Amino acid sequence: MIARAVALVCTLFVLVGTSTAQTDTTYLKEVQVYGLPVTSHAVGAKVDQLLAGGIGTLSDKLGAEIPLYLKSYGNNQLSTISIRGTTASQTAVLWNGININLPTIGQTDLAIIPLYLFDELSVRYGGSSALYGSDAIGGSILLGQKRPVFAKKTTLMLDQQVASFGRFDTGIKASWGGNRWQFSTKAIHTYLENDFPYHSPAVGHEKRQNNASVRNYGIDQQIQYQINDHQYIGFEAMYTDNHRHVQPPVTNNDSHEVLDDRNTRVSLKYHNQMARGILTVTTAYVLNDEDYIDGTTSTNRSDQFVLQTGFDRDYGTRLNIRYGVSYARYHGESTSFDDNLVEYRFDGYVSSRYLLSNRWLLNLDLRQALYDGRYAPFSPSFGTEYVLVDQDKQKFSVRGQASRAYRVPTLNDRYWIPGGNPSLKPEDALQVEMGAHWKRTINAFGVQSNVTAYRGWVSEMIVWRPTGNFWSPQNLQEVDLYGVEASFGGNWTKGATSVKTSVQYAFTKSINKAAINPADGWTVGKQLPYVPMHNLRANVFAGYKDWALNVNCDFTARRYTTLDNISMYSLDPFFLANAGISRRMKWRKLSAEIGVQVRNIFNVYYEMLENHAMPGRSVGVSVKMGVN
Amino acid sequence: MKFGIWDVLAIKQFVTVRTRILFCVIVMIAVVSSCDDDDNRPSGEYADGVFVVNEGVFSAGNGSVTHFSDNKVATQNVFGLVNNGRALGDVVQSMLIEDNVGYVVVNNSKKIEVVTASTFESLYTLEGLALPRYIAVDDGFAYVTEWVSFTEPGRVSVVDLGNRAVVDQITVGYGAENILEDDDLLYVSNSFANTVSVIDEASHEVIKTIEVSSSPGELLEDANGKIWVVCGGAFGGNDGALVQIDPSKSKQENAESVIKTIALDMNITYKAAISPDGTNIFYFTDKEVYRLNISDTAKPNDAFIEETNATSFYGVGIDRRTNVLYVADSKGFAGQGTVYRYQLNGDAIDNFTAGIGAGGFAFHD
Repeated sequence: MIARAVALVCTLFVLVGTSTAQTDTTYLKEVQVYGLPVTSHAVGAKVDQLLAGGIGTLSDKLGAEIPLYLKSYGNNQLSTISIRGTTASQTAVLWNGININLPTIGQTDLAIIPLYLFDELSVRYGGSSALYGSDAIGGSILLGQKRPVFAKKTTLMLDQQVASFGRFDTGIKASWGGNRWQFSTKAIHTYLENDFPYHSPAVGHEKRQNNASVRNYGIDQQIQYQINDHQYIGFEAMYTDNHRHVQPPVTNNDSHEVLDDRNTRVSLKYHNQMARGILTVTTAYVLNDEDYIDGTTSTNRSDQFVLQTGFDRDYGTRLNIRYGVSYARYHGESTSFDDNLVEYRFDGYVSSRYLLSNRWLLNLDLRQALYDGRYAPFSPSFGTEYVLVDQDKQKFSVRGQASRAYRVPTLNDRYWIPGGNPSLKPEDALQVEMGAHWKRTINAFGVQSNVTAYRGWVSEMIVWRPTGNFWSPQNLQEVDLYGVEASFGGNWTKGATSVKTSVQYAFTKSINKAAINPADGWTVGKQLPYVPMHNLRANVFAGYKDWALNVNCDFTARRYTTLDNISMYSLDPFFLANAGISRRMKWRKLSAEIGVQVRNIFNVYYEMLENHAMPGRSVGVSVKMGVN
Repeated sequence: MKFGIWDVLAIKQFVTVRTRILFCVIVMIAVVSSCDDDDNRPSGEYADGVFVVNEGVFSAGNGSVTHFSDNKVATQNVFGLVNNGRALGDVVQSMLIEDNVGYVVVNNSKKIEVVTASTFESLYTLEGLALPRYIAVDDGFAYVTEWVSFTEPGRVSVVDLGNRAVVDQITVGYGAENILEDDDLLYVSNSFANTVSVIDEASHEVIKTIEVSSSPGELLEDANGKIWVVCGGAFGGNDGALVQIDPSKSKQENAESVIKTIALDMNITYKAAISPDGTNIFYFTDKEVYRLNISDTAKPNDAFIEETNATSFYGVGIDRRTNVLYVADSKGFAGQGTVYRYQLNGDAIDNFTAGIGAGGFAFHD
């Protein structure tokens, strides 16, 4: 341990400062996307853009910054997302526009995605199947890389972090290129012993977590070639390997389960900005290989091959329409499937944006998908944004959206042996939402606020139920979603000092509407398990010259673990606080940043899933170095 | 003959001594019999009533035991209540009470919690088992069936209850589930296969493997000393069955053990109970309980009990003290379970709330 610390000190790396002092925590910008017809068609919806590229998993990032809920089986363990009270398979996770939710379970383990390998991360709330296809009911998470800039530039960045519970992270990013070619390489390696001490009431004495160590590494290579001033080709290949000892619940000793996930993602994209419009063609291959080892090994393997094209065309100065067609071949292999499963999907969509006036933007998206020879629900989406006040020092706009979204039953839902039900229908959701955004600047102060209210009706939800000795899924459940999301931020700059604050609050109701058994109503009207009614995140950032201080708080309300909402079966509310301090240094072409972070300052014992311990207080030291 | 004073005195003395002795004997009998009564009813909060075994949700570690007292009070999670909030563990599969000691088999926590049945205070924990399922206790030894894993054959671990250690492990078939002791032989149903293993209790050898129907589970001994195997049926096979075997053939490897097989033409959960007089077997589906008489040769045409309010029956048991039939509804593991009580003639009595995944029962011995 000491030797490692010494080694760390001896190898001092420098990172080119990014726009915020710490890449661990970022400031969220509420982005109202209108006026630029090419970028995004998410008119009327709520979108949060976050800073990617730092050390940590996608799960760590989303959990710390956005008031949504993560079902986490422990520290750096399997982690799935719940946006607006929806299930893990009701959020689409998109990489370069391709849904990477596993075709077998229809979900993504956010803890195996190292955020270091991505430049861009945004979260789109609400139903977005019209744009992104299946699974985008609660929301969509978009991961990607920034647009290439074909200029002569070379950068090198190195990251190193050492933290409690035997954690070591090492990362490197390098990019170089000129007017024709651009190359970028990113690599990250994380090891976590994860032997944190915890004191759970279910156990009665302090225990040290065992069988929870994780080793995650990944590499991403991009090559872009500019054909001429309006055409370019981009190639990206990413490989991530996650070797995880599965953290057992606090009640189980003697556990040796291991889960290995190897993901390969390759994409080739052609972009042509023609006179008539913008054409993009993307082809991608995503392979997921998973081994579960507990004495013996069982393997699950799934892959998809995708071909997508989009054509973006302006009609006059007010109307822009994007047409898109995609073809996908899904393949799944498992010891619990009868045979190799192959499925073909075809999607066609049209997305149009119309500027009614300088202040009023309308958007209509339509999508029809075909999966395995069956029609998915036709999903339209209508959005609008109206700017009421558009002054230099004050902006106020309102927006609204109505959409239909769906979730195709997964390969496991349909073909698992025993129990799979091939006649399942897709889950279906109708949602409406409206929001307002206000921004005001007074001298050195700036404030902004964003409020959204939403209502959703989800039907045909798939539930696995015991039928005799086997469990089998059926389209049984109906859920009503409604809630309010509010955020408030302020900033103040004077000379070398700057302060930014942000508070985000979410009120979420996800109410079960259909009894599993028609005869009893004991589950009707109850909040779905693991949906906290209140969620709060607060951030304060203060910078003075080269110093930066950051404090981050998280409050999560009580979560019931069963459909009948009994307090005996619920997880207590908890409050977490993290803080960090960092200092930037620069000499000539080298820049460095050293930081110290403390997580869970009050050493709170909490759980995201029943009886799965989360770590107490931890300390970390990070060093970044950059050359450019 | 003269009847003198000495004679009178002698007789008086004789009568007195005999009376005294008789009196002492009567008192002793009274004392001893009252001692017996005290031993038969140990004192404790949970000395009466029945226990419901609730599996809990897999990997949530929230399995529990519910106590239902003779005056109809249901107490949830008695283990946590008595032992400082300590969790029982992950997937509480079964519980057996023998000599007022409760053995609670916690399948996915790979242990058995041993408690005093009448108070539910923890005595000790038996660790280091491999996915244990059910337990039988005989003569100072416990025999625990274990699945071991989902791909290796199951086994029976022999535990010396005196020094609380595993002394032997006997490999049987895949998915070793229920275990029944009869006449110094142990019968084990191999639920992932279609066999019953017969083990000699003294030598720990598997002396016979009997072929039955798909997914064998519960083992019940009837009034004629025959053993019934409840078979759930293969996935999608609708081939559940009740198989009666003859224990007298168990020591002869080539003799046919199976007496008769009653086909049920449907799949069932492989749990069942037999009436205290050993003449009627009760098995169930989601909302119905069926009754088969041991002398029947075909399945019953109609259900014995239809409970339209039930979601998913998951366990059944009969309390010998009161002749009451208990049926557990797991409610699909979506919330607290419900236990329905019936007379043995099918009349409904009442129902009470149990824990998540209510699936089994334990009765005082």
